[in-house]
Amino acid sequence: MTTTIAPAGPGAHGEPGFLFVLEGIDRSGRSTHVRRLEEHLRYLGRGVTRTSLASSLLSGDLIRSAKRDRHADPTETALLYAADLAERVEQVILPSLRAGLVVIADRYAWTPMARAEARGVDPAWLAALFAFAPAPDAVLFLDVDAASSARRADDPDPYEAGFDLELSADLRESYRLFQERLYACFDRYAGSAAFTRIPAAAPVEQVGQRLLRTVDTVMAGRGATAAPAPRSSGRLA
Amino acid sequence: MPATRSDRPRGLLIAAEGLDGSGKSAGLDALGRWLERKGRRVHLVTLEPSRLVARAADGPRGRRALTPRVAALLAASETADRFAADIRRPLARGHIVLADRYVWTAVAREIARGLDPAWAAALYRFARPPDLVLFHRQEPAAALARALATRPAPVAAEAVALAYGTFLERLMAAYERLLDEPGSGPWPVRSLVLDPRQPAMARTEAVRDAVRPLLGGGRGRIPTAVQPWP
Repeated sequence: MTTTIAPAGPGAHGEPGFLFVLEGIDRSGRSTHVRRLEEHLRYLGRGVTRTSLASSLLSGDLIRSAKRDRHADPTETALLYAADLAERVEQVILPSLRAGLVVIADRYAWTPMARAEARGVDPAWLAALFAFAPAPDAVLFLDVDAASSARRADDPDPYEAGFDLELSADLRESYRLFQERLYACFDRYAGSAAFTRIPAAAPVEQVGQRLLRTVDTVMAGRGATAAPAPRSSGRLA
Repeated sequence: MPATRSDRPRGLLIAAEGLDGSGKSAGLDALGRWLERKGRRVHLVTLEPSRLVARAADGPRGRRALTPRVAALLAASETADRFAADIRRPLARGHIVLADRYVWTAVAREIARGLDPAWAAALYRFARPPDLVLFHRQEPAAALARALATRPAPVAAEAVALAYGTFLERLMAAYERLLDEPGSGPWPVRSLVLDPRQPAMARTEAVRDAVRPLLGGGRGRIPTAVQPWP
């Protein structure tokens, strides 16, 4: 079975494929919407590659152990996240974009930047450090504030709660305060990096529709047919 | 971090940079002994090759993933961790840290391996700027001759020498640019250029003359001993 998909003009990254990034603080619904977006694109006949933080061969385990270490140096951790992203850019993201696939990145440079900045690392240095990452076609920012995120977090992970910062002796309160710091960072990146804000406190169906519409619009804007010919019109004899 | 007492001398970071066989280590040794005679506590740190990079290069899958950028980032993460322990703490106590190769060498190596010079410099901006860089201007040909003399080359010695010679030349070009264009490094620094062909005595005197004013008149009263790290 063959599906014909019109070629698109190159994106800001210079490649024929598409790069969609989902960002947001913890418990903003990213995983749900990454899954739905992938299903949507596959249904349209698109080849999809998914990639997420700390999934690289060389840095994944190092990041996981740094996250468990309350005394880990935040500069060191930021550099490990950059190594992780660099490996995935070179091994997964760029080859997929060159092949014309759609890459869905479940978090990208901004989550590690926010986590480091919330721990006192210089934001200008972080921006320069991650400047190697290809520019996405859109950054879909699932905009949920810290209070809503805290309501969804029954049993927060100490790292997600920034417990190493000793903001509060209470884990849940520490979680809310730390997510507030992360939110302030994302809120600022949203302006400088032209995020598409998707109010994500709304019902999941509504958020999903809004997100898919944004993706379809971006793809159509680059001259790609958002909805290619149905599969039944394939040319298999 | 402990509070800085007003009678505590100011911490100092002095880095020796340059190619192999340029007299860096011997020079730092002499400087360290001179400083200790002046009653200062001295720590020596060296820029070690990255263990993470060596481990990654051990298997075929890791080697394939180990591109220049990934290697640079892994090495920098290790360096950040080591600097935090070996440099930041002694400086906060008002001690003197002598670095046998520091950030200029790390940046020059990444540039020689083909990374964008501006990005390589920005990468190391996390490190504390040294108070003084002692740049030992060793010629690439002399460094190569010494490397071949001290490490007997195996089979295909010429090919190795040719590749290593080219690398040393690129390294030297990167050093010279860091020296000539203050804006091209992670931060502007005060530097002293030393010629390995000069007699050792003359170099020792030049180094002491450059270091003396940094020591301050006896117990300096500097309110903050160390710049906080980003």
